[in-house]
Amino acid sequence: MKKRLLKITPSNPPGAAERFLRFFLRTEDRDQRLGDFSEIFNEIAASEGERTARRWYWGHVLRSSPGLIMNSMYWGVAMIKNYLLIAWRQVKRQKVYALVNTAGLAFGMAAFILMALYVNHEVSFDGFHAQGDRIQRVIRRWEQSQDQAEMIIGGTPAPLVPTMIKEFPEVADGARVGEVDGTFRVEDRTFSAHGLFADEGFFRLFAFVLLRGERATVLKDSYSLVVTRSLAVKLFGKDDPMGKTVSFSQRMNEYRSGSRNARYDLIITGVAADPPGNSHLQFGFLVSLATVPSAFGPPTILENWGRSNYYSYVLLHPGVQPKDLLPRLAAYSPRFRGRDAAKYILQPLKNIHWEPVMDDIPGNARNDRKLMLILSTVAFLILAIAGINAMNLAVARFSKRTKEIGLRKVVGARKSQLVAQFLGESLVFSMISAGAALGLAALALPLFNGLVDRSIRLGPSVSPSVVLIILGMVVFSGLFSGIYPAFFLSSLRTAATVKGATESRKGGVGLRNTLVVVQFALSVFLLSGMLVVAEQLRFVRVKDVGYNRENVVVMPLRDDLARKNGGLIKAELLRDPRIQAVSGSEFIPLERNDVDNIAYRNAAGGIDSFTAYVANNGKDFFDVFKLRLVQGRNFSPEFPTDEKSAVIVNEAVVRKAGWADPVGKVIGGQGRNLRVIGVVADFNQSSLHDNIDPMMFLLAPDEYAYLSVRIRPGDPRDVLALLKRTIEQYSPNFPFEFYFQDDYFNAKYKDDERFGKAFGAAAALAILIAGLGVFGLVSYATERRTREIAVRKVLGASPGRIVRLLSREYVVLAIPACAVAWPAAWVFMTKWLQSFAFRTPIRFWVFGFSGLVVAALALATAGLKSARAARLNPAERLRFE
Amino acid sequence: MKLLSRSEEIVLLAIWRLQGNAYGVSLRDLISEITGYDWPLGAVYVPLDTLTRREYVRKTVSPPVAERGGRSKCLYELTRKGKAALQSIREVQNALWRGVPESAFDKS
Repeated sequence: MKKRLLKITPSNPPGAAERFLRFFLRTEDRDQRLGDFSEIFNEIAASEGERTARRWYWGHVLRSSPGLIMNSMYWGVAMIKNYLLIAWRQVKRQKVYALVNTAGLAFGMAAFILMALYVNHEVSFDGFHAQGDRIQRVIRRWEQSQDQAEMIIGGTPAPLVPTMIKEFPEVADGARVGEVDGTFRVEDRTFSAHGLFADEGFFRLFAFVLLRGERATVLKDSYSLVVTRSLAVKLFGKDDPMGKTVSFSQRMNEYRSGSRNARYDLIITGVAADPPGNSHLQFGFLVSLATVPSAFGPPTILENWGRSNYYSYVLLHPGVQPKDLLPRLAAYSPRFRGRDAAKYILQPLKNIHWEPVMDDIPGNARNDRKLMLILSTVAFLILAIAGINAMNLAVARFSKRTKEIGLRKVVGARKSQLVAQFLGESLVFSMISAGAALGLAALALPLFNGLVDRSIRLGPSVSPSVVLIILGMVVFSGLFSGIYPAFFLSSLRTAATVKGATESRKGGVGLRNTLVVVQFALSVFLLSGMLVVAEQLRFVRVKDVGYNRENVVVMPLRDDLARKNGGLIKAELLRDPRIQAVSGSEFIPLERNDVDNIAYRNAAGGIDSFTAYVANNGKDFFDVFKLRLVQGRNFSPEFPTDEKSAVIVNEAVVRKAGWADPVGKVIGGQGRNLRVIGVVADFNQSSLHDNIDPMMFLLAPDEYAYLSVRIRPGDPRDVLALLKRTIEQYSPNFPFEFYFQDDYFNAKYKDDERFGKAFGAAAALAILIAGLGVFGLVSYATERRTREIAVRKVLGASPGRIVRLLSREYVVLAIPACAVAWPAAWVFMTKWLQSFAFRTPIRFWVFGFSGLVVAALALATAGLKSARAARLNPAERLRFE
Repeated sequence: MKLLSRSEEIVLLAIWRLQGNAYGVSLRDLISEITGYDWPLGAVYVPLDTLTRREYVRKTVSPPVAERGGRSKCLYELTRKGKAALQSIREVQNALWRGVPESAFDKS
C-alpha cells in the first residue's frame, strides 16, 4: 500500500460532481463516502496537481454511478413494494372506488389518445419525404379586383417545371403530376381505379417506395405503368405483374374535355407500395407522363401553356429559401404565359394538407390547422376534467386513511415520503387506467375512423411522438390527480390524524362545485346539440323535396356507344313490365349541373336576366322523378318544334320574372329564343343545404350522360341484373355503374350525420365523466359528514330526508349549468342550421330534455351514493366518540 | 446460507486482511492492487451495502479527518456471520478445485 501524505490541501473537489454523487448516496453514510472520494482527490491533487485530481474525480463519479444508481434503487424498490401492497389492499377494500376511478380516467384518456392519434396523423402529413423540406409546389395566385378575394389555383401548365429547371439556378429538379381515372381490363374482368400521370421526376422527388423496377426509369418511356401492390394483387393475384401488358380505358374528365374515352395498352414497369394514408398524393397506379403526347397527340401537347391541368413540384437546392426566387418567379409569370392575371407562387410541400386551393389535386384530404388546435385543447380539457374527478375521488379515498398517515408519521415517515407514496399510488392508478384506455381506444378506433374519415391504426407502428404523448399523459394525470391529496393529507397534524379526525376544509368546495357545473354545462350543450342535429336529419328525411326519389335507379353512361344508343336501350328496357319509365338526361337532382342566363322582358319593357340551371333531358324525365307540371304541357313528339324552341321552367323562374301567365312567354337562353310551354312545381335540385334555384328544361336528342329508370317497388335485384345486361351490350369497356337516387340523397348528408355522431359520442362521454365527477364529490361529502349524518339519524331524521339533504346541492348545480349551456347551444346550433336552406326551428323541448337528463343524472348518482350513507347504522359511526 | 458472489467475497476478504483499517479508500486500493484493475469506489460500495444488509460486516464511524474535507470515515469489520460465510465459500471452492491439476487450463 502506498503511503499517504498527511497534508491539508486548500483545493476542493468539483462541486457539480459532488452534488451528482450526493444525489445517489443514501443519507445514512453519505458523509463517509463523500469523504472517501475527497481523500483520494486530495492525495492526487497534492502529488499530481489539481487538474489531474479533478479529472480523476469526475471519471470516478461517472464510473461509479451505474452501481450507485442500482444500489439506491434497491431501497426505493423496497419502499415501492410496500406502497404497492398498500395500494392493492386499498383497491381490494374499496372496489367501487377503484373501478369508478379507473373507469373515469380511462374514458377520458381513451378520448385523449384518439385525439392525439388523429392530430399526430394530420400533422405528419407529407412528412415522410426525405427531401420534403426542399420540395415546393408551384401554384397560381389570381389577384382579382380589390373588393374580391384572391383565388389560389392548384393547376399549372405542363411546360412550367422543365422551364423552371432550365431558367432558375435555384431549382434542382422537378416533377409533374396529372390526374387520370380509368378502367383496367385483364382477360374479361375490369377494374376501375384512380391514378396519376407522373414524369420521371416523381420518384426522384418523392420518397414513395418502389418495390419492383428502377426508380430512375420506371416512368421514362411512354405507355409505362407503375401499379401499387394492392392494384397488382387485384389485377393479377399472385402472378408476377412485371412486364405484363394491360388494356386501359381512360375516363376523360367530362367537365374539362367533353366526353370521350381513350383506350390504350400499358406495360407494367414497376410495382410501388401503396401510398401512406398521410400523403396528399394518393394513387392506385402511375402512368408515365410521356404517354400523354403518344396517346392523345399532338406531340407538342406537353408544351402547351394554355391549359393548366398539371400539378408542378420543384426541388430547390439546399439552402435556397422560397423567398429567394419568388420575386423573379412573379416577374416571370407573364413570360410563362398565364392566360390571366395569375402569378406563380410557391407552396411548401408540408402546407399542401392545410391550405385551401381551388382545383386542387384530387385525393388531397385537406384539413384545418385551427381544428387541430381546437381538438388539442378539447383533448387536454377532457383529460383535465377526468383528472380532477380522479383527484376528488382520491381525496375522498385518502381521507379514510388518516390513521395510516398518522401512524406512518409517528413511525418516522418524512413528509416527502408520504407525498411520494400518495403520488405513487395515483401514478399506479393512472397507469392501470392508461392500459384500459388503450384497450378502449383500440375498440373505438373503427368508429372514430369513420367519424374523421381516415384509416388511423393503433399498434406497434405508432409513431414515437404518440408513445411519448401517451407516457406524458400517464404522468400528467397521475401527478394531477395525486398532487392535491398528497400535499394536503401529508401536512395534516400528526396528533389529529392519529385520533382519526379529519380537519374539514371548506376552501376546495367552491372550486369543485364549479368543476361539476362545467361538466354539467358541457353535457347539456352536447346533448342539446346532438338532439338538434337529429331533429334536422329527421326533417331532411321526411321533407317533401318535390320529386320522388324512391325506386329510381340512375346509371351514368361512360361509353360513347351507350350514349349514342340511348333510344335503343330505352326501348329495350321498356319491354320489361317491371320498368315503369326510362329517361336520359344531362341533369340529375343532387348532381353538379350547368347554369346559363335567362333573358326576359320585364314589366317596363326592358330586358333583364338572371342565372338558372339548365337541364337537357328526354320528355319522360318528369315521369321518372314524378315532377308535377302545374301549368301548360310536357314536351311532346306531336310538336316537332319542341326540340328547338320549347322550354319548361320551374316556379322559381316564374316568381323571379314576375309573370302572371307564364305559358307562351318567350325567353332568351342557350343562345336562342325559347317559348315557355309549361311550368313544373318547385323541387330541390340539390341538397337541402341549398335554395331552390330557377331552372329551365330543354328537350335534347337522345344522347345523355345519365340514364334514369323508375322501377316497380319490390326486390330490385332481378331488375338490376337486367339493367346490367342491357347496358353492358353498349358499354363493353366500362364496368356497370348505378346508384339508387334515395341512397344518393342520403349520402349527401353524410357529413351532417357524422357531425351528429360526433356530438353523440362527445355527449355520452361528457355525461359519463360528469356522472363520475358527481359520484366523487358525493363520496367525499358523505365521508366528511359521516358523523353529521349519524347524529341526524340518532335525532330522528329519516333516510329519505338525509338523501334529499345530501343530493339536493348537486341537483341544484344543474341550474347554473343550464343557464350557461342553453344560450351557448342555441347560438351554436342556430349557426349550424344556417348551413341548411331548409331547416326545422330549434324546439324548446330539446333544451328541457337535456337539462332534465343532467339533473336526473345528478339525482341518481348523488341519491345512490347518499342512500348508502343514510342506511348505515349510526351506532357504528359514533362508536369512537 | 446463500453463497457469496465473487465481488462480495473479494471485499469480505479484503476487510479481513486490512484488520481494522478497512474503509472505502483502503479497500479500493487493496483490491485494485490485487486484481490489477482500477476499481471505481462505487463498485466497492455496492457489495459493501449488500454485506451490511446481510449483517456479514459491521461498520463504525470514526471521528472527522481533516484531509477528507473534515469528514469522518466508515470502518468495516467482519461479524461472526461474515466469517462463517467466508468459511463456507472456501469449502465450496476447495471442493470444486479438488483434483484439478495445475496444468488443466494450460494453453497447449
